[in-house]
Amino acid sequence: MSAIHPPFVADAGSALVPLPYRVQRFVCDTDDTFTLTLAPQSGGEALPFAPGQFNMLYAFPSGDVPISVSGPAARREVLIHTIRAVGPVTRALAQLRRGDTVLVRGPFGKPWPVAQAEGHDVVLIAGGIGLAPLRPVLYHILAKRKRFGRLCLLYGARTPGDVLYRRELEKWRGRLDVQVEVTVDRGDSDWHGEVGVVTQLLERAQLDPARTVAMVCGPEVMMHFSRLALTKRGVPESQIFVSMERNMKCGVGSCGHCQLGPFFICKDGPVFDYPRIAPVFSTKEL
Amino acid sequence: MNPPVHTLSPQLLSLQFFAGFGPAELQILARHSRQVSWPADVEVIREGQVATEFFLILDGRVRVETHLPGRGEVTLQTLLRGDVLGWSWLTANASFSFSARTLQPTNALVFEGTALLRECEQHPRLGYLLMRRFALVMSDRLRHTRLQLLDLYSPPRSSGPFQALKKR
Repeated sequence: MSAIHPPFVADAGSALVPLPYRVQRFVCDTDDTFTLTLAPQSGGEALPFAPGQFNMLYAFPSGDVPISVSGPAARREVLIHTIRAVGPVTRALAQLRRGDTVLVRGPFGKPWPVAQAEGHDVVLIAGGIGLAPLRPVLYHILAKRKRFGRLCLLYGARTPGDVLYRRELEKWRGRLDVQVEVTVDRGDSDWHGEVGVVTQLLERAQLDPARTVAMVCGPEVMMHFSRLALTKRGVPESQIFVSMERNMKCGVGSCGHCQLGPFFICKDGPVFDYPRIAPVFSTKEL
Repeated sequence: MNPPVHTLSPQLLSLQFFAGFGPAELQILARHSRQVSWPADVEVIREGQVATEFFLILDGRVRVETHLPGRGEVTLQTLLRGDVLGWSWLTANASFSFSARTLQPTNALVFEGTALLRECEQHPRLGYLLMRRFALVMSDRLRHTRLQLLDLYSPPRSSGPFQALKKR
């Protein structure tokens, strides 16, 4: 597997200059997660991005946060971000209404290796809000379905109420060319799906391990166990990609907020092939 | 009740559960097993029931559940093809710790655990392989349970109380 494809990266001039966007649509996905559809206030096309990249979203006066793009890269007129309201800035973003203005800076970071995955089976393993950064990959592969081998989405959530994009999951599951498996850590009486951890789903994934590219996004512990399960299934480590999360700020590797060992997650990541990040992956307190 | 299987088909032998067993052990396992079919929503085992058997799911889906007062039946785990249901039979005079119910029509192999324990006394290699197999099943379940207990997808502690978003 070759190196990650060169991403779309904000040029030096625009990297630090936020652009105004208008909230075109606000959707509550779960009790604490929502999706914003943003259109450039000036009209025209939104910032082009590659699946896996993120933008800095500003909510005045609270500040800014790095949020992965969760919409299709082919849809040029808008940017779609799925956000979990867990801190002051994301909670301020949760107060936005249609027509409000948000400032956007980006896109930043290295994307998922979608071009390199062509001709391979692809397994996407997502945990919790980690499905959002992987959704653009799914859109991309479904739009160019013949270029890829088998496609498998494995998704784990906390409870049935925390399952993101439920309608889309049902739609994808109805297709004959995608295997979609969803599990929750805790079921309830209305849940008739799987209960268990996401790594268990991998045992059921229909793929050829040697020619599989795996993209994993979720809490680091979940990614760690997913990597172990993938290795056990025979997927080469060089074909396993993870998306790291740290406190990104500048987005261009200057401020150092997101440093992880020798890497700046905003610039060198957030997507890494596993062998590259392995020396610092799961290192305590790093 | 279906008769014992006697021989295990190549299709059955492809299940991970049978990996490592030699022909002699497989013959004993086959002798003490039979195939069963359950429709959906059937209680396969009940919490507290004396455990003398274990099950290997061939197809379909089974949920392991327990009853919590005020919450009803709570699903702890779902089992599919290749998964083992029940290990309480390993300890003599034990009872099942949880109940299990089919979520859809399910086929399974039922193994007579009590008879197999007697066979293990006579055939130490069978006992060794069977114990190793169940140690793997139990360690997998323990690891998965620990991961579930970690509550990996919960909000960060620092996030504090939050009023749920209202649907708009």
